[in-house]
Amino acid sequence: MAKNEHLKRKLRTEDKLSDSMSWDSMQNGILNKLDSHTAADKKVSFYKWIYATLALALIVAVSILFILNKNTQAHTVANKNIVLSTQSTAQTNTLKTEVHSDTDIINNIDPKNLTNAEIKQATNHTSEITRNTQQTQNNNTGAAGNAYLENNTFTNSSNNHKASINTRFRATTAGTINKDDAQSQQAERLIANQIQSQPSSISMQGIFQNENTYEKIFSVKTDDTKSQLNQIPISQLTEIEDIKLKLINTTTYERSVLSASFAELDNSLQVISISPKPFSIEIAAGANLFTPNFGDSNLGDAKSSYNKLIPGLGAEVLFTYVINPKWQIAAGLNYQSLENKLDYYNEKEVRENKDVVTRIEVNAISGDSTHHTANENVVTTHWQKVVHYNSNKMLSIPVLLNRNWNMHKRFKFVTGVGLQYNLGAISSGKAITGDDGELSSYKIEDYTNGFYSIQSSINFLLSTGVNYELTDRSYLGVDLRGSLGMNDWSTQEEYSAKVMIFDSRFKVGYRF
Amino acid sequence: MITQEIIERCKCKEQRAFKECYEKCAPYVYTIIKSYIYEPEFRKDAMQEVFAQIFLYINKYDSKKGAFKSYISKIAINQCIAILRKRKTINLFVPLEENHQAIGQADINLDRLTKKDIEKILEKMPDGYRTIFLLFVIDDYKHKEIAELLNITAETSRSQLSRAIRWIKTKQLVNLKTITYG
Repeated sequence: MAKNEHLKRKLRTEDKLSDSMSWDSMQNGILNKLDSHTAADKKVSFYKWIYATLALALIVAVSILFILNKNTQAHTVANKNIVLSTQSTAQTNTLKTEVHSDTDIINNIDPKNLTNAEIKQATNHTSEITRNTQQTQNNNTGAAGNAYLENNTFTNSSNNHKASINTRFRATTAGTINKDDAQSQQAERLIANQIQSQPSSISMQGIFQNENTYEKIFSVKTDDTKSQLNQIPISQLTEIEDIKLKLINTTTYERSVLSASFAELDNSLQVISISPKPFSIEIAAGANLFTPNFGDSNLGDAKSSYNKLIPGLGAEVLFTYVINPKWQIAAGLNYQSLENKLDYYNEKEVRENKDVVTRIEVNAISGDSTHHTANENVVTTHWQKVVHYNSNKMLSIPVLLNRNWNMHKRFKFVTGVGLQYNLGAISSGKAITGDDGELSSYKIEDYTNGFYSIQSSINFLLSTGVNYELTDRSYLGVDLRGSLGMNDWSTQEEYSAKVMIFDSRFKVGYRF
Repeated sequence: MITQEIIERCKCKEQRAFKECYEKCAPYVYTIIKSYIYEPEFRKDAMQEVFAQIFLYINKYDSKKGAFKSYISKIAINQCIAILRKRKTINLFVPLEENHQAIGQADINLDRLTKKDIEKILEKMPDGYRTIFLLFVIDDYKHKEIAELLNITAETSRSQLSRAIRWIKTKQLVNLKTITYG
């Protein structure tokens, strides 16, 4: 290095500046650029504060909702006791009405027609089925009515997302039902009118059997004006002691109406509220495809054409808050390993000794030519294969607004839109340079500064998936998620890198 | 070159200090810019950009970590590279070269040449060669540092330097003789 000192001295000898480079000439330009850089820095700082504030607001909001929910659960337990305490006063004369009314409301299920799959489903679905084999006691109609009112009041205030209505009646054998009973016919008309007057429709999602208990699950849709309750032919049921009507995904108002309807119909109805479960935690893992998506210039386009997709792995923990049965908000922590490679050919010049024609002599008479050659050192061009492997371990915070769509029985279609704040990444790279176009012999070199880098950035998210409800609390699912970088990840000024990530994964969820 | 007092005043965004700092440092900065950028129309803009960045980030300068001259030298070189990138004169996919001769001992026999003559040779040099040659030989960057700065591999940096030296030795040999011996 010392040998080049003379060069350094010569090239770094300071010259006198011309007038065009004086402070007076340059001042405005420098200060203008200084202002624009300062403004840009402030803008970046402003966005960082915005993101931090949003994250903080989200954490505070979720915490508040969590605390409120805990209070609601405490209230639920208190109300449960009141409801259950009304069981002891039942009148035998309500039995006929009860059974007969259920006959009209619930008259399309024949347990003999239940498929093995449905029976099996039911066996796995025992967690919240309340078995009730006790005899119907003397009942006080007024007390039962009060119990419903109390429970409905609770339901309204607690914003429950689930509630169950148990219809309890003494099990009898088929043929003991008196369908001509005037009182039950009146009640039948009453509930039919009440249900049909509501802007809702009720559709059955499944029938589940648990020993001697049948559970029928309904969903209520508010956007369908046609009200219809699937009916079970109770006359065909034998050895049934309990039937539970369990309403899921219903609004508070709909539950209130249905509870009131059953209350009119059956004085011995018991309403047992299930504790609300507005939160869920999801753990997901899967594979992704990542592209830096270079562009904005010919060089960017060329780089993009070199890009090859390589699958990476990812995992996520997501906390979800159920705003209402249709909408959820979710936030969590996402880890992804993003891989890609740039695969291209380089021109290589090799200097080698070759026999080359230096002179051509032509015989003027015969026309023959003589080539004179000499061994000379010449430069020839070869192509060599070069492959860059880039790997980034990225940690990010996704925030999603999800919409649920009930498809069939236990399947739920979920779509979502949101943003992902990328915290940063550990980047590494490897360049493999072949001696020829086939990598038959090559050298490998590690490097850390790639063509792009993940700094604090935001991605736009779109997701879609299907959930399968295992139980009331747990579910499995498959998700597809697309992520588009809203910031430029390129480390170079001459091209941009608006990254794209496609993610597919399996997930397990648990509600609490 | 420049006193600590001027630097401290620059940190307070005092415009008079900016002027003093500029007048003391501008010749050195211009020397660097002139060696990397051979088009005069870009030099003025580069000067303004370099000093804007010096003043913007002067709060981050710590005299314990190095001389102010090194600090502004780094900013000036980075800015020159950025300008060359914008003009796309540095080809990132430059051909690699196997012939790794004793690059560390690259002794360019330009002793007899004047500063002006050397500048003439460098002016004719392709931008890619010249940039790596200047970074390694004149500004004492390591190949790893050059690789990070230019977003190439260290291997590419070595091969480009090798080719730059060969370019000087062979293709410009006639010119050198002409310059040296008239």
